[in-house]
Amino acid sequence: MSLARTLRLRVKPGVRPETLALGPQEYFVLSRIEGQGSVAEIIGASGLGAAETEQILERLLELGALERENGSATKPSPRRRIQTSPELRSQAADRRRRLLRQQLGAQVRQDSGSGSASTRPRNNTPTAEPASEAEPTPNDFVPPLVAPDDERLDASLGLPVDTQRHLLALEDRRAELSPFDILSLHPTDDLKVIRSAFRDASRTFHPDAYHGRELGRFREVLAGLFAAAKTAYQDLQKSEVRQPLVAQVEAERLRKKQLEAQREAAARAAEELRLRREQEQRAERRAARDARRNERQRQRIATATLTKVQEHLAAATEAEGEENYARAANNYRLALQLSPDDPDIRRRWEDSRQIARQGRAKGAFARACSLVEVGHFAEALPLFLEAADADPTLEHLAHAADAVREQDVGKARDLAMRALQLLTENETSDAPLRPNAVADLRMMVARAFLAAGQGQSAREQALLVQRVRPKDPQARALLKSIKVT
Amino acid sequence: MENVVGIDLGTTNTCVAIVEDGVPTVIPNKGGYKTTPSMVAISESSKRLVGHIAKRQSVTNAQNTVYAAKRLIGRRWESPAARAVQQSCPYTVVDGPHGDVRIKLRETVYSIPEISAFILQEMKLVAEQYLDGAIERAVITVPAYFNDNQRQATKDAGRIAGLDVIRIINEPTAAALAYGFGKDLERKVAVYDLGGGTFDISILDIGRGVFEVISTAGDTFLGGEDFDVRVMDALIQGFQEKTGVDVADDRMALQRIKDAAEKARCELSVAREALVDLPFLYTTPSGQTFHMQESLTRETLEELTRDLVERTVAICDKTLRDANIDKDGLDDVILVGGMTRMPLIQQRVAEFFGLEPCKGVHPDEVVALGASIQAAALVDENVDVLLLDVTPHSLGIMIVGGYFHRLIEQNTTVPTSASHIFTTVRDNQTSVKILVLQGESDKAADNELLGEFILSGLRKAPKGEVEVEVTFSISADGLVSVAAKDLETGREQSITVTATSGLTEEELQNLVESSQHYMVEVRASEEFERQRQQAERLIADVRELFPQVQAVMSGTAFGRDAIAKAEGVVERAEQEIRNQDARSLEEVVESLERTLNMFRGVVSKTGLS
Repeated sequence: MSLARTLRLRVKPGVRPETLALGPQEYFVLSRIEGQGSVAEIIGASGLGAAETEQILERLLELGALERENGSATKPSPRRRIQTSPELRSQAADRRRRLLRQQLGAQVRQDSGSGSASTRPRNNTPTAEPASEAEPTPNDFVPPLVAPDDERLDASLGLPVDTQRHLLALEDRRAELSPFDILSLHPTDDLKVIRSAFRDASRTFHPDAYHGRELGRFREVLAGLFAAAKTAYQDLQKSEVRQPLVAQVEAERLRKKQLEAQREAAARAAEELRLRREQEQRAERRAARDARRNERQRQRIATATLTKVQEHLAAATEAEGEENYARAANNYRLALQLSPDDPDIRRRWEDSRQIARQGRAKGAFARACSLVEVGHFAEALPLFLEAADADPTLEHLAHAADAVREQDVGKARDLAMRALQLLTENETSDAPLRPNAVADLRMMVARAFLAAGQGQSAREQALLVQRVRPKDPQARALLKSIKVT
Repeated sequence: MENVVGIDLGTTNTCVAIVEDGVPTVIPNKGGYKTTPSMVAISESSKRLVGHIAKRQSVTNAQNTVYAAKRLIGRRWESPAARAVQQSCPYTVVDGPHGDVRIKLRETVYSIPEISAFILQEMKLVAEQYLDGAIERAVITVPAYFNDNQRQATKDAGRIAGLDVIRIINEPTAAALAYGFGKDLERKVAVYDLGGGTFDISILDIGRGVFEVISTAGDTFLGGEDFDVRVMDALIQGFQEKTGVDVADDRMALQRIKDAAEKARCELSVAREALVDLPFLYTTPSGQTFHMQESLTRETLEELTRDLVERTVAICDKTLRDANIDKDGLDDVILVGGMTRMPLIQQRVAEFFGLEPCKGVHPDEVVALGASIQAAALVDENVDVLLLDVTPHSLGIMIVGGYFHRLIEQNTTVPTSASHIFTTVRDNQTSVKILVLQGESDKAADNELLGEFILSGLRKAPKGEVEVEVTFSISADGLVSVAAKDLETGREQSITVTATSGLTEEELQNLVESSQHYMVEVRASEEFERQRQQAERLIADVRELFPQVQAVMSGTAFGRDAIAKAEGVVERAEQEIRNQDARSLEEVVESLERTLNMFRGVVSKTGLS
């Protein structure tokens, strides 16, 4: 909220600012108001920032030190103001002077050295002072006062009662007051400030400062206090008097500052700790949430996997039912990929894959044989190889070795070697092949060996063939060719 | 606002000023001069003459003309100062009834405060005429180094003159007030005040309207008069060498030489050479006449008076050292007093302080202006000046052995107070006499006695057992009060020490009364004088018209009767003028006016004019 700049405020008649709980700035602003004025004028006169002044004015309104002026908001003519309220004006000027005097009397003058003109507390010029010069420096020096009902007070004297209260309080406590206290000054090493404070004190304590007004018994009080102020001033010229006091205050200030710093540091640490805890808690909560989510995810995945596995298994079973083992194997593989640790699936995958291979090998072999029958050897070759690869039975290996012997001797020899091994096993097996079929196979192996350059092996097989069928032309021809070579 | 004036009661000249609308102004006297010579004379017809009139007739009436009364005010008959004046002045100085100095003029003995009062009364009249209102209160300046007796005597002079002296302030302080008033200064200044009779040096710290005197010192017997005496002596000696005639016994010749010396000294401040031409200065009993015709150069003057100037510089040096003030810390030097026009002084002051003296103040008027400022500050809420003055002399009491025990040191800012505990020095001592003294000597006898009182009723006890606490206080207006307290019984006794001006209260009372009578007389005679002048003017006018009116009106019985009446009125007027009766004269003046109007009417009607 802000106050309208044209709003006119005035000091509430009969208000006693001393009785209000005002800060130095508020006092100051109040003292700037010449009886009445618009918010804009007051801001201008105060020399403070607009926002700050507005705040202060709001507070003053709240406290009842000021009131809104009715009806004249539209004609803010200062001329008219002067004519209509000379009494108000003089009242305000009086009050302002009193205020400033009080304020400045108890104030550390930081600016005294610059010789600024208008810091004089009793300057009577009403508005000409540049505001900055009279601006109160923050000072928490509180002048002592005796109780307002002290019986020694005498309102009939030419001495303001507040001054009387101050004087009596000083008089009562004179023995315990330090030189700085007498001068209403915070301990300082600045001699200019001290001199300035002494001048202010003189204006309060010297009986001549009251222009011959009736002072009664206060004349003596003043004389005594003035002498004390003078002594204090002289003492403070000596660094051996001044320094300990300043040092004491400085130490006190430092201690306070340290304490403050410590308190602040503690507060900061506590705050940090709190923040860290919060962060940790947040992290924990987040982790838990993540874990739960992961779990759900995992479960979802597991469920999905299971479903998929079931689907695949169902498909596989169905394929098995249709004796399409290749599709069954494929489905089993997919199921196994999703559930790799299931031995049953693995087994069934291997089984069905085996069956599918054997089937494929049988098919390929059959097609190869039929192709060979019609003389298409070249087309038969890959089928033989596929059959040997898919189901390396003796028959398939032998045929493949025989078929490939002209294209790839290395492979032929390899296949022949494996066939030979199976032939050896076949002799000791429980259901050996018929000798005639074995002979055929041996013949094929022999041819493969021959092609691979293993004449001895080829001869051996050929001889074995001749033992079953002595008159086998193929074997004879082979043996002959071996001899030739 | 009540009018309170400031008066610079100087050794040679007096000046009165007032703050008018916040501006300190010097009030010119009837002759239009801003300063009035501090001279009082009693004429052959026992008439009191003050100021310029007194000065004008001083040569012919040297024995009955008092100048430089300030050098004697508050002095004791035995003081060396009184001795010196006695030797060098043409008027007769006599021993007063209270050890004070008095002056005998035409068979009447006057106290010094009375003489000063005549001057103050004159200034009061001047101010009243200027302001057209009564003046009852005043601030009067004195040299800073005046002791309390001298100050009290000055105050008494004011009282005799019908003035309530609300404050006595120091001349250099007043000068500083005038210098700093209305300007917002933050300065440390030295005021070098060499007047007609006294020298003062004061150091002040001025800031924000507070004028704090830090230190003050001076010599109450060093001033322009001393310079004049040097010149006089040189002239007399020269005259004697040339003519073999010693004029030391011829008061009239001495007065002429003195005037010439003063004139020459003043001239030498602007010119390099001055001529002293005194024809028929001396006539021997055998009828032989001698003339004095001497040429005096500035160099000669400086040679004659160099040691006096050096004395002032030495006092400055001592003051600065005693007050522990560095010359470099001073921002300005103010020269006050007519003597500071002397080039040698300006040069030496500039040399000593390392500062070009401030030219902004008028050396003759500045003190009165300052006094008026302090006067205004004491009564007027709008004058924002505070003067923190010091006590120029140490204050203390006499202790056993005739020694002086200081309780308040010199240059202590007033108001102030100090106390000390003394013990009895004899067994069974029941009373103690307290002698209040002022001065710087360690021997009580060398200091000024301000007063004494006795504290009695002490318990009988061995010496040293009974303790008496003596408290001195000096108030802001310079009043010294002393309280003695028997610490055992709590018995207290105090007095306000009224320094002795050489007049008892009774004498003072009488003087105040007679002065009031005198004032009434002065006023009455002034009134009569006014009436007389008016009456004479009217008589002249009536007489002028007489022949014409006679020609017109003598034909009728009525006319003849009117003319006879007019003649009667004129005659009565002349009679009243001879009788010096102001009231009757006033009535006659009215009749004269009527007659004149009638005459004028007749003349204009007949068209003869």
